[in-house]
Amino acid sequence: MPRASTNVIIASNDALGDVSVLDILDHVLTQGVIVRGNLIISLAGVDLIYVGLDLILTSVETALRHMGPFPALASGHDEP
Amino acid sequence: MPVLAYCIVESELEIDVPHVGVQDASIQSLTDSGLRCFISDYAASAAATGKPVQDAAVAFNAVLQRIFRQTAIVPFRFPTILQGTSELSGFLRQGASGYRDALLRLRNKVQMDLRISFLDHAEAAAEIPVGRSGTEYLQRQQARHQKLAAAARELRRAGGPSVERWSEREVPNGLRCYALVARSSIKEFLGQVENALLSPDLSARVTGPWPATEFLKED
Repeated sequence: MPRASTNVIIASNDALGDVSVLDILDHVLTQGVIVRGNLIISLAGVDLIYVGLDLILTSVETALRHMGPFPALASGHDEP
Repeated sequence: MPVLAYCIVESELEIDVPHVGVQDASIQSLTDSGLRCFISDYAASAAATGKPVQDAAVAFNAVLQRIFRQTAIVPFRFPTILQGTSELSGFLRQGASGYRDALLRLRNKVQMDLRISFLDHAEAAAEIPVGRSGTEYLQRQQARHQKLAAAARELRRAGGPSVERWSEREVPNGLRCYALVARSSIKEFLGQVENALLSPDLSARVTGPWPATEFLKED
């Protein structure tokens, strides 16, 4: 039986923290109150926003799958 | 003009609010039914894919975190864009009682997110190697569920008494856990949970503190 390991990574969200852009995207796109029926509004260009979000969500999920155990630590302003 | 909604707070609190938010738009507030909601004008015609959306999400989070450091908030999911402030007022009135209760109950609480995932991407996807049976797939799925559940139990145990509430959600690549922790207990929680013992083929990434969105409703 494999031995247990302490494979827990802490990415703090405080002022000096090392939470990554992916962590931020992952959180703000999946958590929070939804105003039902209002994510798409009847303005030109909104469909583009929605499609863009789909691409972002796919990218975040795909990126998270490939993040590995010790992703490169980055500030909140770094590129993923 | 469409508005982007950031978060809701109790209306009587004095808060240091950022001047600008997404798209460098001024942060404004709207008060209704004992609640205060922060918004900014949102130009839907701005580039809406790729990096601009990512930059907007980061700017959005920066506004939330600045306010959240001072008090409990009920954040909107990004991006929540409404046609105008009257629509937002109607929304606040509709949910006012529940949001006020939640903000009071969660005033000194934060949420810590724990994401458990498999280190082996094939295991994460529960892929079936060519030539293997559906029965084997189901057995792998069951084993996978059990490993993730065991890891969640261990993380919760390791978090100790600082974990006031706990919830879990399955996601395609693993399991998301959420711990409700007193703001004053964040360091204690992190110090304990980082010593959790997990199966070597799993890792857990702990982020926070975040607003306690998973715990807006009481059990």
